[in-house]
Amino acid sequence: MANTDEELAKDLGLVSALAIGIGTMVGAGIFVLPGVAAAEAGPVVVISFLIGGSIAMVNALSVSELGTAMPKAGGAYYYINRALGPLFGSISGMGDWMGLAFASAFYCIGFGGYLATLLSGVTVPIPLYGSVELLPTIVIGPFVLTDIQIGALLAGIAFVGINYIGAKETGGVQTVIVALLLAILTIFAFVGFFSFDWGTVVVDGSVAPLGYGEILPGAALVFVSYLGYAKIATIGEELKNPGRNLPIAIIGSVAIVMVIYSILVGLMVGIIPYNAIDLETPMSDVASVVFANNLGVIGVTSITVAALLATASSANASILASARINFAMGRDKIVTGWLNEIHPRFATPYRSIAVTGALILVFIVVLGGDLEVLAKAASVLHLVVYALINAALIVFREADVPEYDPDFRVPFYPITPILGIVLSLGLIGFMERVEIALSLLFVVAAVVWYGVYARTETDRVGVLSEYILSRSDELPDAAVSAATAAQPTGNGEYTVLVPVSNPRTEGHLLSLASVVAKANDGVVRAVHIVEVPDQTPLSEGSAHLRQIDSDSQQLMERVREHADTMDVPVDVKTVVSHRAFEEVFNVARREHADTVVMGWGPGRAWTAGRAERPLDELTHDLPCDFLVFNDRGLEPERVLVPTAGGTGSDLSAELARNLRDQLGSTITLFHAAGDKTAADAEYFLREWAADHGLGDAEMVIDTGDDIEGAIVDAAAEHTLLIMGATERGLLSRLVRGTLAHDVIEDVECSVLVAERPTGRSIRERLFGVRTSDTTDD
Amino acid sequence: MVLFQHVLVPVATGDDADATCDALVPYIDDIERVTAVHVIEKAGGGIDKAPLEKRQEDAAACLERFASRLGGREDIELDTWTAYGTDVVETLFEAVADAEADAIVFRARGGSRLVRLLAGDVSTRLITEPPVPAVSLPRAE
Repeated sequence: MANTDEELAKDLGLVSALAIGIGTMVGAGIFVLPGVAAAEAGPVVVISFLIGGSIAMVNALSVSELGTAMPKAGGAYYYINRALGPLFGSISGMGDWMGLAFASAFYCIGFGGYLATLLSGVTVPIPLYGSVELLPTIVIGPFVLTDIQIGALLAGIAFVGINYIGAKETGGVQTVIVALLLAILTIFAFVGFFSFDWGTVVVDGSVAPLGYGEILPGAALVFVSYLGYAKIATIGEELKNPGRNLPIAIIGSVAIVMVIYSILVGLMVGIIPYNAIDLETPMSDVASVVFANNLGVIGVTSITVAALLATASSANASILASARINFAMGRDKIVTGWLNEIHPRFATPYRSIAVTGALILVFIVVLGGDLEVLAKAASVLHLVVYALINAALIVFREADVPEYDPDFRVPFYPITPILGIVLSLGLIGFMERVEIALSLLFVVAAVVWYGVYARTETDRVGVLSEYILSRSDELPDAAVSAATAAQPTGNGEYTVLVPVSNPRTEGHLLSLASVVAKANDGVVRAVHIVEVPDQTPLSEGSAHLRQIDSDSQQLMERVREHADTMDVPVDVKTVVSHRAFEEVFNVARREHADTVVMGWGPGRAWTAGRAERPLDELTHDLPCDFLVFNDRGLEPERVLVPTAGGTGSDLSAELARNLRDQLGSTITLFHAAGDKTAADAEYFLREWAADHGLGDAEMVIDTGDDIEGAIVDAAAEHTLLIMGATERGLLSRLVRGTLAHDVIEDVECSVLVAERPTGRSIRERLFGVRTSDTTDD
Repeated sequence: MVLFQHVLVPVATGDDADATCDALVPYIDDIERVTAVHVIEKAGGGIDKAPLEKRQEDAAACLERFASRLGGREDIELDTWTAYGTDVVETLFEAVADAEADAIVFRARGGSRLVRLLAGDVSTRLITEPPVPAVSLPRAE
C-alpha cells in the first residue's frame, strides 16, 4: 500500500523547500522596494540590504535549530509557545499572523503597481458614459483609492479566493516559477552589467550623499524583503527529512536571496540615479533602460511578468503560512477551533483564509497608500517574533529538556541567539513611530486576548515558567509571582483515567474512579489496554485490531452498565499496545488525566512484573496522581488512613474526604507516635486532621515499635486501607515486588496506594501531548 | 448472494462517513469486506492547501466515525486507510489496486454545478474512468 505510507505525507524535498523560501522573499526585495529604499538611503542602500540580510541570517540559524528539534506546523509560534508559555505564545502567534497579513498586503500593493503599469492606458468603454480606465483611481471626498490599490485589491481577492477554493497540485508550479524568476533575473543582471556606470552611483559626489546614518533606517525598511525564510519553518511538518533539509533550505534561501539583492540593487543604482528610480515599479523602470537597445519590450514585459509572479508567490505563501499559525494556535486553544475547520468540499481551512484575507484587504484599503508603513509594520511584528524565537532557543538549551534534540545547532551559542535578540530589537529602533505604534497595538491586543480568552482555555505551560516555578526557592520573588500570574487557568475537565486490563473484573475500579470524578465535577475515561505480542503490527485499521476493538467495546459497555458510577459521565476506549504498563503512562499524558485509578493484583498485564522499559524512567515522573487499588471487594464503610504528615499523605486525605462526602464512609486516622510523646502525637494528628478537612474522623495513636504490625491490626477492623506513598517510587517498588514489609499482603481488606508526583517535570509538559505513538490509538 | 466480496469505500468527512455508511448498510449482505479510505490531497512539492496535521486528525476522526457507525459487525471485515496523493480520484484508484478490492462503492455528494466544478467533480470521474466496477449508492431513506 504505497499510497498510505506516512512518507508520502511529507513530500517537500530540498529543492521545493528552497523554492518556497526564495519565491517568498525575492518578490519584495527587488521588485517593490529598491526605489523607495534608494531614495531614502542613497546608493549605500546596498549595505542596507546586506545588513538586513545578516540580521535575517542570525535569526535563520536559530529558526533552523528550533525547526529541526520540532518540525511542526506553526513554526515560530509553536516554539515560542512551548518555551515561553501561552502569554508569549499569544504574542508571537498574533504577531506572526498580523505580520503576514501586513506583508501580504504589501506584496499585493507591489503586484498592483506592476499590474497598473501593465494595464495603464487600457480603458473599458461603458455605453452612455464614455470610457473608464480598467484600473481607475477612485476619489470619494478625502478618501482616495489609487489605481495601484485597486489592482492590489483585485490581486488580494484573487489570491484569497484561490486559497479558499484550494488550488490543485500547485507543487511543481512553485518550483517552475522560481526557476523562471531566477533565469529572468540572471539575464537582467548580465545585460544590465553593460549599462552600469560608476558615475551614476556617485552622481551626487559620493556613495552616501544622504549620509551613512541612513544605512540603518534603510535596513529597517528593506528587512521586509527577508521575511520569507520563516515560512519554511511553518510547514516543517511537510518536509522530507527535516533534520537535513530544513536548515539547508532556510539558511540557503537567505544566503541566495542576499546575494541576488546585493547584485541587482547594486546594478540598479548604477543604471538610474538613486533618487530617480521609480518608487512603485522600480524593476520595470530599470529594465526599460537596460533593455532599451537589445531585448526591448520583450525584456521589459518579462520583467513585469516576473514581478507579478514573484509578488503573487510571496502573497500566496504568506496566506498559506498564516493558516498554519492559526491551526497551531487553535490546537493550543489560543484561538477557537472553529477558525480551523476544513471545508467539506474544498478541503481548505476556509475560515482561517477568509479571516486573513479580510485583514489583508482592509490593510490594502486603509494603509495601501503608503508602502513604507505596510513594509515596516510587517517587519516590526516579525522582528518581535524573531527576538522571542531566540529567547525560546535559550530557554530550551538552558532548561535542559531531554526531548529537545535538534539535528542542527546554532554555532557560537549563546552569542548567536543573544545577538539575534539584540539585532532584532535594535532594528525596530530604526522604524518610524507610527509603525512601531501600530505593531505595539497588535502586541497589546494579543496580551489582552490572552488575558480575557486564551488564559482560561489553554492548558499549555511553557518550559520557562516550569523552570521558574520549579526553582521558586532560588529565584527572585518577582520572577516567581510573574510566572504564577501568567499561568493558564484552563485545564479542561477534571479527568480520572482508569486503565483496564480485564474488563470482566474491573467494575470496582470504575466505581472508585467515579467517586473521585464526582468530588471534582469531572469525568471518567475507562481505557481498555490490550497487550498484543511484538510480532502483531499496530498499523491502523487492520482487521485483527478491529476485531479486538469491537470485542473490547462490548465488554467495556457491559462494565459501564454494571458498575455504580453515580451519574458521572464515563466514556470507554480501547488502546492496543505492545507494552501495557508503559501505555498506562502514555494514555495518562495524552488524555491530560488528573488522576489515574488502576488495579493491582493477579490477572493484569502490568502486574506480571516484567520490566518493559527502565521502570524508574516511567515511575520517577508521574504524569498525575496515581491510585493503585488492590481489590478485595469495594466496601468503603470504614476507611483507615495511616499518616505521617508530609505531602505524601495529602492525597490520601483528599481521597478519604471524597469517600466520606460521596459514600458516607467513616474515617479513622492512624498515626505512629515514634519518638514523640503520646500527647505530642495526638496534637500533631488533630492539627493534621483539621488542616485536611478531616476533623470529624476517629483518631488512633500508636505508641508501639512495630508500626506495620499496628497498621495490620488496625486494618482488621476496617474495610479499606489508604496508604499514602511517603517516599517517591512506591509505584516502582510495587511493580518490582520489592516493597519491604508488605503491609498490602498482610491485611485482609482492600488497599489503595496513593502516590502524587512531587512536582511536574518539564519534559512531560513539553512533549506530553503528541508523541509519536499515534499508531496506538 | 455475494456480489462483490471486497469493496473500497471513499469517505470524505465525518458527516459523509455517516451518510455513506447508512447508504451502504442496505446492501451489506452482498459484501464481505470493506476498506474505507480517506484521501488527503498533497500539493506534490508545494505548500499543501490545508495544514497536514489538521488533515490527519480529521482523517482519523472521519474513519473512526465510519467504523463506529457500521458497528462491530461479525459478518463484515473492515479496514480503514488514510491515503495521500495529489489527485483524489487517482489516489482512490491506486488504493483499489493496493487493497485488491473488487469494486469501488461511493455516495455522490451532489452539490451545485459550480461547487462541483470548483471542488473537482470526483463522482463523475469515479464513474467514467474506474479500473473496477463503480457503484453509486442511492441516498438512504
